[in-house]
Amino acid sequence: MTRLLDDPTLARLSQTDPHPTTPLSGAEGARAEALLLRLTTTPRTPGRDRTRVSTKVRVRIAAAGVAAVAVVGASVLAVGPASATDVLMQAADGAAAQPAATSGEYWYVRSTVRDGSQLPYEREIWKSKDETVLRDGASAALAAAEAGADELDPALIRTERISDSTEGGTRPTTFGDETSLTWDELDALPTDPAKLRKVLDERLADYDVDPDYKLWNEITALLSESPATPELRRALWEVAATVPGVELLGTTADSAGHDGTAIELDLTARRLPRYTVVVDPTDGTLLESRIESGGQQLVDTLVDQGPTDTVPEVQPPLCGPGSVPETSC
Amino acid sequence: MRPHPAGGADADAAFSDFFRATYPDVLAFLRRRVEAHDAEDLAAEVFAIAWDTWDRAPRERRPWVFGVARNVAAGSLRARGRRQRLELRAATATLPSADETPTVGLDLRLAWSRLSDGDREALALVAWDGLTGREAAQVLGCTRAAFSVRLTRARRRLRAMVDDVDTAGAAVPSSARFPGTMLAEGDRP
Repeated sequence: MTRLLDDPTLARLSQTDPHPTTPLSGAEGARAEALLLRLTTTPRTPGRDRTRVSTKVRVRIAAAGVAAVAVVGASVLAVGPASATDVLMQAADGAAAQPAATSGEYWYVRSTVRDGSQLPYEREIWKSKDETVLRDGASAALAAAEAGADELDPALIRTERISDSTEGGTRPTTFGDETSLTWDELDALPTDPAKLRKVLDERLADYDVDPDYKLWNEITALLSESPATPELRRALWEVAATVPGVELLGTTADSAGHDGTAIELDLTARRLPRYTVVVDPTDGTLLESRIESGGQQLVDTLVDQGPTDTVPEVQPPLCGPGSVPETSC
Repeated sequence: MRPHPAGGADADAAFSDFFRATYPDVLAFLRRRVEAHDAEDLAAEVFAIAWDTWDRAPRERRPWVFGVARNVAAGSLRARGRRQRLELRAATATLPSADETPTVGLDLRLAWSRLSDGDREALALVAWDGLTGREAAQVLGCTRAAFSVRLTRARRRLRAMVDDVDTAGAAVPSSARFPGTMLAEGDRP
């Protein structure tokens, strides 16, 4: 206490403090900790507009507060700096707060792919329950790399239907890496993280690889290219937070310049890749996935995603009418 | 591309420690000056500014962040066309019981109401916000000597007004003089 309060007038005045400093309540502490987390995982922007800061921060508090209460509890001001788990749980809450898609026969995702020494290319995919249409520059990028060209040949960028054919038509579209979930199965996944984890483990049981590797792969696949509902995305991020070894790298920007937070799962000690995801914790968007293995890096950056009712006109396969894509060519 | 942590792990840890140490004080500082329901939003704004300018912050960060809070509060009040709310603790509606802690008397309340905003600010920084003279000077952006003069004058004016109210109120019945306050007569200095 300052010695100035030895003065009787000031000492008496000090007893009239309208709002004495008190320990934060559990809710106040949780909101404070959520604020701290958000600040320390956001790049510094000196000189930004103060009004905008205020509005943004208010949204941050509203979005992060509930999650922080659940995660950190009443003694939040005693915990350490933000961790990967904190960020993933914040992403879970942000994802759940997003509006659910209410229409659209197709789920559309547009991304940019950087694959090692090849030229970057765009990938667009439209998935309905029974049809998948893809337009990407993978073939053009490979051809350019082989020819030493410095630009993609637009003639090699095709829009093709890649749905699997069966005798009765086409196989249902599936989502995920190894779980191969149909749209209906995806919708039926539990949104309780423990139950979701159980279902994913069961679906992946026959896939005989490192359990952390296959779980992480599956979660990121479902988050990056599926019409998972906001509640399912929350649960997926919550399950991701349970994967051992996830590390917080810090704030960053994806290849498109969007601010996010980088989380890493380094499995190189198990002779597996090093994974990095860039997530926007405020809305749970998986902005970018990076996979490093054997000195090569594959980077997939989200450009746009959402429901749509329209798909572009499909072009014939490169090998001509009647050929089977990815088999004949 | 590599992630670019906002200021290095050490800086981030220092900011986190500073945040946790000062957030409750800054929140209380704001609650004394703005509507209570605005205080948390404004505290968030204060610490967002602190985060953004952390690398340029002076070595003495506690008075610095109070200075930021003062400016943020003033900006908010200006935006709403309101004056600062440096008011004494509100009186309760009940008369004191023997074991209750005395709080504020009518004499002090009336005296406070007659002070200028500048006098109130100087007094509040010391008596309520708990700042030293040197820290308060930094918050106000003046020299320590200038603050000392300002505080001394404010303190004298407050004491004089308390005495004035005390004298003038002698004829007022106690039930009317202390409506709902918790101050016993003998509590006065």
